Amino acid sequence: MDSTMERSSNIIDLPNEVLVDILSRLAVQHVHQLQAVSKLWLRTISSPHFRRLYNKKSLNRPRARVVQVSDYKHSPSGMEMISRTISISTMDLAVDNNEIQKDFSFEDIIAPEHSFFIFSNLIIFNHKVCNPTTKEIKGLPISSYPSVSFDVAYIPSNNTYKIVHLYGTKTGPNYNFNYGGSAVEFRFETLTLRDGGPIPSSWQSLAHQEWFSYKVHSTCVNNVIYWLVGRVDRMEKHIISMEIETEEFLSSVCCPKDPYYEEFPLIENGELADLNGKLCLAYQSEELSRIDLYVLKDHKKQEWVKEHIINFGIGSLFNVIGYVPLKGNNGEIMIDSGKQPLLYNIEEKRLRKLPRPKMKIHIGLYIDRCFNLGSARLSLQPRVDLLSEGDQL
Amino acid sequence: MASSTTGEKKILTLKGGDNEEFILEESLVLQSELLKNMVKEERVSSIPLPSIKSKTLVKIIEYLKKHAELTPSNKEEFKNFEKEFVNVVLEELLDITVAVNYLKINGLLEFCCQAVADRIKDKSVEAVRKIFRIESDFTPEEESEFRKETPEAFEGDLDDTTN
Repeated sequence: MDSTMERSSNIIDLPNEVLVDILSRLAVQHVHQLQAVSKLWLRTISSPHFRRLYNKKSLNRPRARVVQVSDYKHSPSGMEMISRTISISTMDLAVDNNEIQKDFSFEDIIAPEHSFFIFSNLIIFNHKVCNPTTKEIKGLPISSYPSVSFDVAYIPSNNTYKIVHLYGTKTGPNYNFNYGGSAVEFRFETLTLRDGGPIPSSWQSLAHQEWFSYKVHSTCVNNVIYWLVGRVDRMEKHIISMEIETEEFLSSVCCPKDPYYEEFPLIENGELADLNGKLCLAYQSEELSRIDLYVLKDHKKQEWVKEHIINFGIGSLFNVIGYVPLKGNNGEIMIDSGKQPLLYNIEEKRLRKLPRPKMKIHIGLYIDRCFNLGSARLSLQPRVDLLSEGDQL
Repeated sequence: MASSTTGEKKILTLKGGDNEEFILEESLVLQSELLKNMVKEERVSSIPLPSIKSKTLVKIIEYLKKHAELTPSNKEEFKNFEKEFVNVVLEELLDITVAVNYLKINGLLEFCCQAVADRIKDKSVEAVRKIFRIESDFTPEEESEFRKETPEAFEGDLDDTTN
């Protein structure tokens, strides 16, 4: 080699777009840690360009998040719960050997009356929000209304989450168990969480109102939040929905008749799930130990198609968790049988068991995303998108 | 270098960083977007690539030849070749990646990026700094803040410099 030869390449010689490509192939927790390598890596990883690209790439690879709640502590009188321990684990579904990997746990001091819990990418409980990827826990502004539920939708174009809070307008009625009660007024408010924070100090209330007796279930599919609700004066349940970005409400949809209505005269049968980007309604029969899955084919025409019947063989109550894509066009439906998570292969009509956790769990699907609830560390926030620097060979 | 007459295969010369010449069929370099444009628009028959080492160029030409021979029946063989192709010391892999990015050989770039990512996978911050010869440019205060915030990022794999 003569003297004109340059030294060997170093990773610093890589054009930024190549470094971005390389880092976007790593697990999100690892990427988060690697911000500590150097200022260049910190700037690259915290740049909006990298984060959008990462979040787009990870869409096809949902993982399961397992949340265990344990170690309840009570007040000396034993009447009130003071705290509990929330443990967070994950399971990679894209590998053959599914294992529950423990991530971290923390003690949650319980606020009276409020202990809602949702868990996909964000975990919401007791007026707090936790981002398990970064282990951040931040307070949410308190809403003074009787809460019914929280739902979260993700908006990829600007890497934000929107929380939608469904609430009753009057103190008094027990909105969560108003079965057999007359229709009451419900309203909605939203909170937008931006990558890097801060969390807004108040909820934005929407003018829209709905009247129904009780809410059965809710889910978010393709940036539309759907609430399955019931009215006493009408036999069938219906679905109200809101487009998350515009906050516009769509026409309500009637549900197909519940074939197992006789089985559950008191509790509400019916559950919503995101099935490969389509809204799915599940009715289950405990007697027959099976779930019927209806898919909404056309919102305007209110057209449902019964697409799957899953037989379990053993009587239990099941929750449909979501859809896990496999290679090709095939996919699996994840189901929680209360004791054990299961995966149902749609093409082969076959169930397989996932590892059984030691204690009672909550389980949900999530997607690896670069998202921070709070501001980037060390105030080294990027001022320019590094990609514009371009090739430099 | 005479560039082709009709009926004959067009021939092209690539000049590596140390002026070593590589003569190959023009059709092979069409996998590179950069060279394709040069050949099509400027009708050149010799292309100097001073920033690419000859050693790296040899590897890339080897890949282009193998890739051109790829058929459904030798897919397995090609996969094995790819595996061996990136089984080189990290400096060399980075040389190849930089050159492939410059030449715009998209399929190979994907593959190289994944290979580099595989070298980073599961490695601690210290290990990544060590294998990529990156020096921390954070202040001691910032450094200790990172260590406090994500201690696990600095644990384990410290001596894992296996390339």
